[in-house]
Amino acid sequence: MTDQVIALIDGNSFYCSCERVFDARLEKKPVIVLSNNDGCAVARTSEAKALGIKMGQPWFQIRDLCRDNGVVSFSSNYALYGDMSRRMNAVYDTFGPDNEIYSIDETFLDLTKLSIPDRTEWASDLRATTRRWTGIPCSVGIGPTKTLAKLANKASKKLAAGVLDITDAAVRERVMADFPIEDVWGIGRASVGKLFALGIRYAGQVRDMDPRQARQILTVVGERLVHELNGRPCIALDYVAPQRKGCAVTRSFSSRVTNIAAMHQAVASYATRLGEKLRRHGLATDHVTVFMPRRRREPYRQAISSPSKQRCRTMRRIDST
Amino acid sequence: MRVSHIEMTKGGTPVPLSSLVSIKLPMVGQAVHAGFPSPADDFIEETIDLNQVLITNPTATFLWRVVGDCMIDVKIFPGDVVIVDRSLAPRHRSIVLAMVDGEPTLNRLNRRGGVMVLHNENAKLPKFTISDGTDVSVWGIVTATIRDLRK
Repeated sequence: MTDQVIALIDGNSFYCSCERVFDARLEKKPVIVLSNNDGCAVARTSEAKALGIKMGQPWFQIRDLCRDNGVVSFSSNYALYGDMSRRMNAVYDTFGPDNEIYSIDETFLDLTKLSIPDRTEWASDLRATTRRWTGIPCSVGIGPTKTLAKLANKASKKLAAGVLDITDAAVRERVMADFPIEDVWGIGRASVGKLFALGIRYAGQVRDMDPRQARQILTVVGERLVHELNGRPCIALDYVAPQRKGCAVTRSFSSRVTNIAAMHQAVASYATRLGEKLRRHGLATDHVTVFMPRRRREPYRQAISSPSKQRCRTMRRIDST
Repeated sequence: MRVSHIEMTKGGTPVPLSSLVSIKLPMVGQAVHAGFPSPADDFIEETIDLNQVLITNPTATFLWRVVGDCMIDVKIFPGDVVIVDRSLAPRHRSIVLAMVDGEPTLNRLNRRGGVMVLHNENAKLPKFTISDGTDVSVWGIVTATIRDLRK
């Protein structure tokens, strides 16, 4: 059996790049895209990141910074981003048949069965074609597992070529030696703290952990992670989108809401949107949760202000019959 | 100095490709359960899908609406929709959508003594010239125009 080879392709600052395709004046400027209600920044170009704009930072906190530094901000245009995403995936389809669309701008490609003489050259071609046809710059990471493909993709962002193949063990070793664990797919903030306490800071150290120890500290997810980082596939590619088990309508407000009537109004309109969303996906529900976190950094549980806070959302599919 | 340019829709927003709907009518005949089958059945062909006629590579094709009159000599008028394919290589005599200092503009591309030059196509306008240091790139190749003749 041949070893598995997986590529992860993602669009660089995807939403911002979509806007740039149609307005070349934005090429060198800092650009951000705001969430649905213009609440917070959800996409930033490298120029915007350099100004210190954080992912998810509320608009009212960065408004002045943006004005003073000529940051171009866009309200999100999901119809456009969805169309560009579809186009990118159509390009990938011409390069390989087996892929999993992981998110609006990330796709895993299974290269195992493809005979590619030079993977880096192949990936550069894929990247150039995507850029030429759709205008979107992307990065390609290649590795023996999904976790390693994701890691290679992240590391490739620092390279001018935008392509990194770490299927070779020696290359992988070098890249993982100083790859920070907080950037590893599947290591959340809580896990980072636990690993830091053990003096583990780099992906290479996680790879060398005893899987049983990883399981003790990070549950079964951690054990799987250690195997994945060692090039032993544990996470299969999902070629078919899994069925939804829940859905949510969430928006951040562009400024603090201090008036109960305004909050009622918002909840009513989000509930309407939720109904529309459920019907579109052919779903029904017997539980609806309303949550509204107060300020950032306040513990989440305090913020839930609904009598139904203990309830979890469960959905079941309405059979089409 | 840039003399004239075609301005696209506000903010350079393209007309989404999905606004052209693929119309597929039933291909062959009607469901005749009794009686004599239609003699025309053998002659009915698939109805024309304009997407297929006008667009070779849908993945790389975008629609833009034209504003301005610098291409009227080649019958590209304000209000027309141009079909732009990004996957084609620019050639001598191509009509291109170019980004001139970030502005989307329509131009004719000509080879003059080994270099590619952009022209407008309106004899009434002054010659289209580009000063040194202007950032020019070909965004895509215009392959067709769509015009509503009632407007």
